[in-house]
Amino acid sequence: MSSFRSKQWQVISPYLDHALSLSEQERVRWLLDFRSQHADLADLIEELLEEQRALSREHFLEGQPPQPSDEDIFIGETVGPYRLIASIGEGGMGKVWRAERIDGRFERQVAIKFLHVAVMSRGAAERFKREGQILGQLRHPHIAELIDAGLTPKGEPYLVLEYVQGEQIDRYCDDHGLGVDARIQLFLHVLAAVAEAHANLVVHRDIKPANVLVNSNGDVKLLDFGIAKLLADDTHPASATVLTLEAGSAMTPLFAAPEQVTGGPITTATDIYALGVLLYLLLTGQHPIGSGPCSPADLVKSITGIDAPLASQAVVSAKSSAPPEKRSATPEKLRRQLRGDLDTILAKALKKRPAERYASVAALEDDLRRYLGHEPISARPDTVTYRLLKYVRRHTVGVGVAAALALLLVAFSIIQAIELRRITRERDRADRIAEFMTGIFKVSDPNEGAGQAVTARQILDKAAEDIDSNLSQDAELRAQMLHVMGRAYLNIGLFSRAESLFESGVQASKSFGGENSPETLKTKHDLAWAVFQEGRVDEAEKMERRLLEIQRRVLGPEDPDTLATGEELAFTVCQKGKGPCSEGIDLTRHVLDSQTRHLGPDAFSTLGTMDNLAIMLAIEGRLDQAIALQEDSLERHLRALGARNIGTIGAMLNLGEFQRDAGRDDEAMRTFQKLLVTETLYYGPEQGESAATKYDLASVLLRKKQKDQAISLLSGAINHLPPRIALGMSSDPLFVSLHGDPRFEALVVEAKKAGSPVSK
Amino acid sequence: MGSEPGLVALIEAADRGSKPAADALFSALYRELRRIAKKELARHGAPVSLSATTLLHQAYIEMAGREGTSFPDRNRFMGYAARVIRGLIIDHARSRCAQKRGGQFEITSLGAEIEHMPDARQLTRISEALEELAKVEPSLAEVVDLKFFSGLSFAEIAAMRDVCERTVQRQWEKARIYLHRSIQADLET
Repeated sequence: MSSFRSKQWQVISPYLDHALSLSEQERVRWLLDFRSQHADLADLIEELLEEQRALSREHFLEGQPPQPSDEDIFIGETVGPYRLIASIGEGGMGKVWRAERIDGRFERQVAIKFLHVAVMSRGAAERFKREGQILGQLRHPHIAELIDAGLTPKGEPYLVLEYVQGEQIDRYCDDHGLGVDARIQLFLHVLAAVAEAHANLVVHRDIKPANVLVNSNGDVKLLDFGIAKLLADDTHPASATVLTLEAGSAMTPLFAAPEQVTGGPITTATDIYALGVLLYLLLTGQHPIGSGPCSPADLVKSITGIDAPLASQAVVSAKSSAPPEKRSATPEKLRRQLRGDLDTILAKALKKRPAERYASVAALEDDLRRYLGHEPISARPDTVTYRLLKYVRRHTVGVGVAAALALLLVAFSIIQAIELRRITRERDRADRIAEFMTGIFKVSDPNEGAGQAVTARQILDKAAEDIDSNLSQDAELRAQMLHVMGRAYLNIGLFSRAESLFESGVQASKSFGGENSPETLKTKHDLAWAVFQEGRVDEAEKMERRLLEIQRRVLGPEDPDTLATGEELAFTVCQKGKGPCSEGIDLTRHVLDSQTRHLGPDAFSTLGTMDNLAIMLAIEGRLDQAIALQEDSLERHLRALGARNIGTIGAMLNLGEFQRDAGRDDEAMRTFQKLLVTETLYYGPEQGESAATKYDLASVLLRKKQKDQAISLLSGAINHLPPRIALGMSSDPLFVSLHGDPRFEALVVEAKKAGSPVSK
Repeated sequence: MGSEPGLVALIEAADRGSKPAADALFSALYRELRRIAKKELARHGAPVSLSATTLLHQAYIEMAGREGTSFPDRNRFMGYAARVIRGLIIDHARSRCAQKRGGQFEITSLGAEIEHMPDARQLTRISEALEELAKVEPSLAEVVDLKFFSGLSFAEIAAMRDVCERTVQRQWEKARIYLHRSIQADLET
């Protein structure tokens, strides 16, 4: 064997790079190819790859590297009643020593873990000891016992633990070539240990292979139960431990549950997630979030946002690093073993939302036993609809999601409608939609798209691009999808994109169903709305008038679609005039009458129209009429829908504003106060909506000359105000009497900061 | 510290490939890391030992704080400092071999396994091979300094360099092949 000459290395280096990025199977194929082109280098490359495998097996240069410590200085030192015998390693949490009792009371040796934590405060130290004692009571054959917890005279925390010699569970399984069932059997022991701890109200919080050892008898031992919590003090919330505390060296939270990286509450469900990760790893040889998330930030994104690929798919994917032979199987056999029940079980344990996971360790254990016994399991596989919806949920990027979700919902209502018809040709179409939708959302796959930061916008753009090529044979479907996607663009505020899709949709629909088919008319309706949103009010008005006329003729004057157009035309007219709009009021009244007759006075859409009418009356300056109508509407809302309803909240908000504008300050104040309570119930505290209401309430208080209360209310809301309001505050006429007041000026500065997109 | 105002300048010069600057930088960092290690140990006392990783982070925090905003980015600093840590570790191992007990501080690297523990001679060989490798593909050598000698994880190195963890892992695999070959060749001759 000879070392490299630098020239030679430069030649082979890029080939090695490439070869090392391939899976084992791909490498074999690649080498064949390579040999045909570079016969002179192929032998060397093959040899080096062989060598790399050997080095990997031998853990060359891994483990504790150089050994420069003068550790014998400490040998014989005592810690409490223990004498240190030898250093046995150092992990993320700290240095570990093997030790024995000085007084010889117990023969067995212990492991003492010195924790890398800055010296603890008095309170934290007390708590550390107290919690240590609780953990000490946890006894189970598969749990490494915590014998003692204490502080050195210098105040450094240490733990005295049962000394366990063993191998990490994943390596143990690989080294022994355990098959799928044997791995599950072993895993059941882990579950037994965790179940016992949960029964004692102890959550592990840090289950990972390094904490699950198997000794030479094949017995499983779980280490470090509850220690993550032990280390959490008041300044570090417990949830942060895995991320921060393990690390002067920033541990990668590969095994952390979503709630651990987002700071949510840690419960037994957290352990169930980690158990899911562990089982996934044992069965597939890879981590559910893949082998190489790029940065810690991406990792957090993956943990919180991306569902794991099905285990059965993971083992056959190109990136699989799990040698199936170590599982006594071929990749295909392994895939078949995992497909179905095990996929379902793992998916359920790995749910992002704790409440959707197995309710207890026992439930998970039960399903695994059923699997082993070939009985039906309790967990249900995700249906097609459900899975597709999840594609969207992965990318919770603000309003865009609503759009993408809307898109999916519509698509699926089409699918379901078709499926109900149960006609073969139509069912093919349902499949086509499903396939198309899945294709669109594939852009969210980090391997296919540019990365994780896929926005709903990108998803839509891809869909718009694909629609012509993928749905060209099905004109009707194409027209529907163009319409649906236009609506999605509309929802995320991209009106010109929406417009052009609606335009194509109208064309497609005309050519298929004719000039006045329901679908054509519906799409035209949305087209006019998009044009209106773009600010071309006159054009929108013309389109709406034409459409209304056609709809009245074709569908009838009381058809819901006709009424919807009437309502929209009313708005457009009002908007156009920027002032009195008697025509708008008449149109809306007509809609309202018709809805009251057909749907009833308390129907949701009737009530919505009532509110619109009230707004138009207010715009026209007929505030007393507006208030009377709005009061009626609010009463109906409350009766029909209850207080905690978005429509009720809207009605209350309208009423408060009308009352304020009419100078009925006392009434306005009471309405806004009620609204504030309702919003807090509906949205939760400290949301933009309730902040906006505080803003309104402050403006009323100001008119009632309650300046101090107004300012204190404002300052409580300032950081939660929607940007639109925050940025406009300094020029809002409602607050003109505060200009020059230094408290108000300070708030304006803060509002600008809070409202600027940078800080959002 | 008036005696070392030139750390920033040294790093920049070394970046441009100046050999004297690289040497001067090495000794400056060496002195600095020794000082920090001693100080840290004095603060904690036995039996807490100082991990190379902690030392590396601590050094960056202290030196960046002192040098101010012009201090180069973490990535470059860590690369140089990890090379120095290697020197510290090897010197220490050598002094142990000589039974001198000279060093009052200990530096360990992270990792739970202790089965594979090279001695001073092996370490020296690894170091020499690394120097060779540094001439051909410096980033590979740096990965070894950061991972093997300084105990950083793939994830940390990746985050520092803003690349994928898998890229670092691949570099590590390549570096291991290179080092293993060099060391074997050394033994055979």
